[in-house]
Formats: sequence, C-alpha cells, structure tokens
Amino acid sequence: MRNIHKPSIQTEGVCTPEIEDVSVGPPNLPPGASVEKNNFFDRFRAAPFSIQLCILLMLLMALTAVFAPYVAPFDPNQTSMLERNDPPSWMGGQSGHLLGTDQLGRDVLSRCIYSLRVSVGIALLGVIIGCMIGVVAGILSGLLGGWTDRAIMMIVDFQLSVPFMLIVLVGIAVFGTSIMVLILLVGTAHWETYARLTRGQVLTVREYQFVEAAVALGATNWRIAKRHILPNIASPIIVLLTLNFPSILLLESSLSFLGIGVQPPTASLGRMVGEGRDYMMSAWWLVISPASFIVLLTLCIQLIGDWLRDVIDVRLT
Amino acid sequence: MLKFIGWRFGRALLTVFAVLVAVFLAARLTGNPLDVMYPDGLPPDQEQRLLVQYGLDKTVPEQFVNYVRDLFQGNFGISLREKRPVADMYAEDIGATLKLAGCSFLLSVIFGIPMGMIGALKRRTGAGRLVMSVAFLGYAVPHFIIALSLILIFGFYLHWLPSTGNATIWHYILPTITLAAHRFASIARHTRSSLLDVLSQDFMRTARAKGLEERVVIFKHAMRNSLIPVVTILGLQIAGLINGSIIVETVFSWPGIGRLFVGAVMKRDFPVLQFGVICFAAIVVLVNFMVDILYVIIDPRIRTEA
Repeated sequence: MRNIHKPSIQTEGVCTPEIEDVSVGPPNLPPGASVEKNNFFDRFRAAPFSIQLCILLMLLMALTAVFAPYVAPFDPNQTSMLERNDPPSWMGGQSGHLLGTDQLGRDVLSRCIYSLRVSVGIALLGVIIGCMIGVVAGILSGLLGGWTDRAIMMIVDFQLSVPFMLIVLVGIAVFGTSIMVLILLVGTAHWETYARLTRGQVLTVREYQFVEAAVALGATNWRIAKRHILPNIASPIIVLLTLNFPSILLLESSLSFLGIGVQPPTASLGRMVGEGRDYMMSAWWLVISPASFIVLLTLCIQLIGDWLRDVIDVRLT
Repeated sequence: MLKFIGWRFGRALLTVFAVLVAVFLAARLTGNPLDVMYPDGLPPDQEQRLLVQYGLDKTVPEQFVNYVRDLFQGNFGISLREKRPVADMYAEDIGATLKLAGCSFLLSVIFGIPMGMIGALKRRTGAGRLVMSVAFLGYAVPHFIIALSLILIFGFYLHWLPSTGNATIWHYILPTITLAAHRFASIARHTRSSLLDVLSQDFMRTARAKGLEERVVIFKHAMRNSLIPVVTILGLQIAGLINGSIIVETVFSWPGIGRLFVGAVMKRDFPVLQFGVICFAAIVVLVNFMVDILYVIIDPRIRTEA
C-alpha cells in the first residue's frame, strides 16, 4: 500500500508545498510513466543529428522497398549474357548499369532494391512474430503463475542455453528451405526477451492498487492484460523491437549467405553477397553493393534502437 | 552453497534432457531416414529388414528409450551419407574449432576489457568515442561481411595473408579476428556500462577522499567490482562463439565442426546434426553452470538460495 497523502501528516491549517505536490500528482502511476504527451515530431527534433539522419535513411529505404517495382531501373531477374560482370557505369561500365551487373548480366541495383524488400520483409515479420509469442507467453506466465509460469520460464532457459543458430539450422534441415519456414524460424528468435520483460512488468503492475481495484470489480485476466499491462509495456517493447530487428536481419542474411536461407531466383541481400563471393576477385561490386546495404540498414536501426533506449529510459536485462 | 550447486546442476541436466527430447522429436519429423539413405527406394523385404535393424518398427516412446540408452553407451549414430560413426567425424574436426574459438576468445577478452575501460574512463574524449565506435561497428556488422572485407583487403589486394584452410599459423589470423570482432564488441560494451555504474557509486568518492592514488582507485576499487557482471557475459559468449564459428568456418573453409554442421544441414544428414546439437548444447550448459558457480565465489553478496 502506498498511502502517501494521509491526512494525518497535515498540521492544522498549514499545508506544506511538498504534500500538496504529492496530492496533485496522478495517483498510483508506475515509476517511469510520464504524464506529459510527447509526440513523435517533438522527439525527432530533439534527437541528435546522426539519429535524424538514420531515421531519414530508414524512411528512404522503407519507401524504396515498398515501391520497388517503380524505383528499380531494370527487371531484377532479366539476364543478359552479353553484359555479364559489367562494372558500374561510373567506373567504366559499358552497359549503363549504375551498380554494374552480376554473373548472369542482371542489374545489381535493381536486385539490391528487390532484395531489400525481401530481407526487410522477412525481418519485420520475424520480429513481429517473436514479439507476439513473447508477450503472450509473458502475460500467461505472469498472470497465471504456478506451473504455467515454471513451464514457460523453463522454455525460456532452454532457448537461452542453446545457440540459436543451431535451432534454426535443425529447423531448416527438418522443414526445408521455403520462405514461410524461414520467417517462422527467425520469428522464434529473441521471443524470450519479450517474455521476460512482459512477465516482469506483469508482476510489478499486479501489485498496484488500480489493478487490485480492477480485480475487486471483477475484471477478467484478459481485461487486466489488455487495459493495464499492455499500455505499460508498450514503450520498452518498441525499444526491444528496434534492437532485435537488426539481429534478425543479420540472421536471415547469414543463412541466405550460407545458401540455406532464401532460395533462388528470389534475391535477398545475404544471398547476393554469397553468390558474389565466387566472383569477388574480378567483380567486387557484386559483394560490395549488397553488403553496404546490409551494413547501412543494421547500423542505422541499431543506432536508432540505442537512442530510443536512452530516451525512453528502459532498463533491459 | 552445496544446495545451490545441486539445484543448478539439476537444472542443467534438465536442459540437456529437454534438448535430447527436442532433437529426437525433430529427427522423427524428418520422416523415414531410409528415404535419405536410399533415395531410389528399396525392395519391400529389404526395407522391412532395415526397419527392424535400425529399430524403426517400434513405437515412438520405445525408440526414444533406445535412443537415450544408445547415447549413454557411447553409440551416437552413423552418418547417413558417409556411413561411419558421427562421433569419429566430430572427433576429427573438433580440434580445429577449439583452437579457433579459443584464440578468438582470448583475443576478444584481451582487447575487449581494456577497450571498455578506455571507453568508460575517457568517455568524453576522442579516444573513448573512437573505441566505442569501433566496438559499435564490430557489433552491428555481420561476421560474413567482416570476413569478406578482410579476405578482399589482406588476401586479394595485399596478398599478405592466406584466406582458406588452417595449414600454418598465418591461416589463423583472419578467421580469429573475424570471430573475435563480435565478442570483443560485446565485452567492451558491457565492461564500459558496468564500469560507468561503479564509477558513480559512493565508495568511489570515499576512496578518492581517502587520498588513494587514482591507479589504486581504478584498478582495485572500480575494476574489481565492475568485472562481476562481465564474468557472466563471458559465459554467454560461448553460445555466440558457436553461432559465429558456423559462419566463419564456412567462409574460411576451416575444417572444423561448424563447417561439418552446415554441410550436414545441406545434405540433410540427421544423425550428424543430432550429435552436433547435443554436443553444443551440453558445452553451453556446462559453461554456464561453471560461470554461475564462479559468480558466487567471486561475489559473496549474491545469495545462494535458488
């Protein structure tokens, strides 16, 4: 019980300013929750220049990925035997391809743009799946407690103690390499981070008076989860999503690079690097272009995630 | 203390058992191993004989019991492709992996902790920012891109270092650096944040107020306390090293178990995968178990109740 404003503290007729402050403030707010509303543009303007740049770059990449068919200068799968491994046009390439062509004469820039779409799409879906699994598991674990809690936490321990790459590789060996399987497998990465966060938050929030009151009024577990727990974990979840996104992107590109992720003819950034590796000596642009896309993407999102973590000020374990 | 160790050990065993069950179920999901061994099909009488020989005609729980019993008897299965015991295949390759992983681990600790210290103690200077930027790069750039960049620069253009195989000591340099990059970055970042936490503690002010030399303050009072969380991180590095070595060994054609594993995924050679997962999981669980105990020994404040 946190009865801060007990009338007994007040002396006759005199009210000290501190006590008045306390009684004015919103009752029962969890620590870290702020009353003032911050909209996105205020935060964006307050961000350091490097973060603004990253966010703009990300927006640009997202738009490029969404509108790939309109942005890409060529058909990504159009082969041309006469223009194989042609260097970028600004480096003496003859065929006028901005980032050159690959071993089958396909335009590297167009392939990068389409790959961006595939890689970002897979990572985005993967992150969302992981988040949903984790949040649901965390809520179940925290609200139901007992054996459910123990069982879920054991699975979390399991996930933490087995190198995740192995789980994915075995999954691929069992289910084959289709894009759906890949999305589901990378989706199971990092769900335990959300589960632990949510569970901790549930255990904290459950102790607050407003939740006690809600329970007393007959609120169901579902209602408590929806009205009292989800709003409280929204901001740390956003931070976790941003921090997990690059690592899922890297997981997918590593798998595709090894040749066991996205399968041809679909292009993915990692796959392009993997295919270009054989021609690296003579045609370095096959590797450098998609690799730069990967590095740029992960660096930007990682920076944004680190910044968000500091701004929102969540302590993630 | 003994109770704590026992409890932790029980949990470690439970995790390994869970891995066993998961791997077994995954193996059953792949369908009939005979289809992989004989893709062209078999006459029915031969198939029946082989089913009995491999124990595949029994029920699933019976198969599981047999499988666990075989494991305890040191019988880890036969590779479907190479038709020889998987344990032998791993025994041949594990040396190369251990050497690579060990070198990388040492390198990342030797550089990571001092870099993290610089990042924390000189955080407002150029040196501190530079160090942490390097760590950030190491953290965000994937292994295979670091590997390819190093091969391009030092292998192809400068012709300084070899980039495939593990024949000489020179072959170790590029893969070791690649594998160490992530670990170095993560150790440096953790050392920095943990040291920053300690630096703002009251006892630091007390130590300085006592008139101790700055060297003593930093190394005896700050570092000792800030290294405690770093030790836990070192335990978690093992899982990261295994993840990384799968990629690094493939890129550098390093004859280790990471490459063996990737090859087995491509050939769908399940017994090889099965043994690999069990081994890797057992290593990680064992290391984390030791770290937990080490943690309690280093820091007596941690309660040993489970």
